[in-house]
Amino acid sequence: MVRWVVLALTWLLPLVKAQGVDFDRWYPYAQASQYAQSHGRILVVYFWSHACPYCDQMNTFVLSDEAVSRALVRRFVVASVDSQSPEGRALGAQMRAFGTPSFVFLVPQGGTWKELGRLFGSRTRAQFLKELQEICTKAGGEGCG
Amino acid sequence: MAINILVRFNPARPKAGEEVRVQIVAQHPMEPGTRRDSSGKLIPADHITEVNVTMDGQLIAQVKPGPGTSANPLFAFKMKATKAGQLKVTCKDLNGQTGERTADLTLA
Amino acid sequence: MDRRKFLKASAGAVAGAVLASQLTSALAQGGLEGEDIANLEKGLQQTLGKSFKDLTPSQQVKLVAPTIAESGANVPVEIEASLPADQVKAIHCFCDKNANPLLFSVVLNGVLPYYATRVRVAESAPVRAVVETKDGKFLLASQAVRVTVGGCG
Repeated sequence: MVRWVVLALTWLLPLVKAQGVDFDRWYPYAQASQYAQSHGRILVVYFWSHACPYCDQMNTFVLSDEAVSRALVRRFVVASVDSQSPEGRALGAQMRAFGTPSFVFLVPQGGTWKELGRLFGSRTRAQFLKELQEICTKAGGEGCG
Repeated sequence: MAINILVRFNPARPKAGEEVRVQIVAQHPMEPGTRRDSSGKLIPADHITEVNVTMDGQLIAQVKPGPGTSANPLFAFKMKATKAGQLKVTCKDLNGQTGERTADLTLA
Repeated sequence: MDRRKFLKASAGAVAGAVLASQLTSALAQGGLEGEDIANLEKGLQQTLGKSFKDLTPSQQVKLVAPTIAESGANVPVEIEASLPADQVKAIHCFCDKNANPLLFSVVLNGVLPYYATRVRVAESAPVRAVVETKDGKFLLASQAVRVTVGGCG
């Protein structure tokens, strides 16, 4: 009996997870772009680097801010890209994002990606929130706050 | 792991009655609980909550640093070096880790 | 540079300095960059049970902090009160725009009325040093710290 339950759980768990994706965290690029397509979300490609204090500023004060987090959870999915990694360098070159922190906003369109906008450099919470709302409005639909 | 604390007097050997600056540095990440890691997850708060400084057993200063104090924090005081004695610094963080360091103040 | 040019330049510099000092004193009256009294009030109530209007701005409190910080993660602050050591009970420090406005509290008992540390400042905002005296006064010094925004190439 217990064995059946365990077996059922191992089958069911991945399904439950796939439906209830946690959008309050960030994913590797491949996973995030897949979620953007399957869940109709705006993909935010966040290029950061360990050595950049402006990224730390964003991570500590802006991206963890309650209002910013709520806005991101509502309509976005964040791809976390270390700009110094081989994958990050390739993506950076492909998207022409050369500094950190950089945010490139993309929506899936006809098998490819359409860029809605991009931001470079740290900013205050209020400004970042305003810019997220503008990007969200460009994408259209409900829940831009 | 115990929290490592460093103590320095400036000047190192003050004259009697001279002002001495006590510089205390603790090696601690002082996680404020609002920082997101590379997968966007919030790093749980982990910062020093209390630092006690005693001189020959008498409490001379108590700091309550919060999440607003930087990583590897500095705590600096000034005192009159009236006599030689033993300075003792103890601290504890949110996770119950503790640290302790004694330093002898000697006069020139 | 000839004498006349020099005089002109120095007159300009003096006028500039006077203007700057008028500007800083005007700002000290209220309206420091990034001021957020409503948020600060939360921290003051929670820590001291006091309101911003209960604090007395005082020349006896000296707060040294950079006017511009490259990173908000590590801002040095130094607070000193020109009061006898036995009159000072504690030193508190706040920042208007931090989610948790209280940066630290220090109780002093036998050391000089001085404390230095490094703090986190969320974004451009005033840092407030509050010196609590044994007779129940709260003396205030404020300094606006601008946290630069930017990126790394």
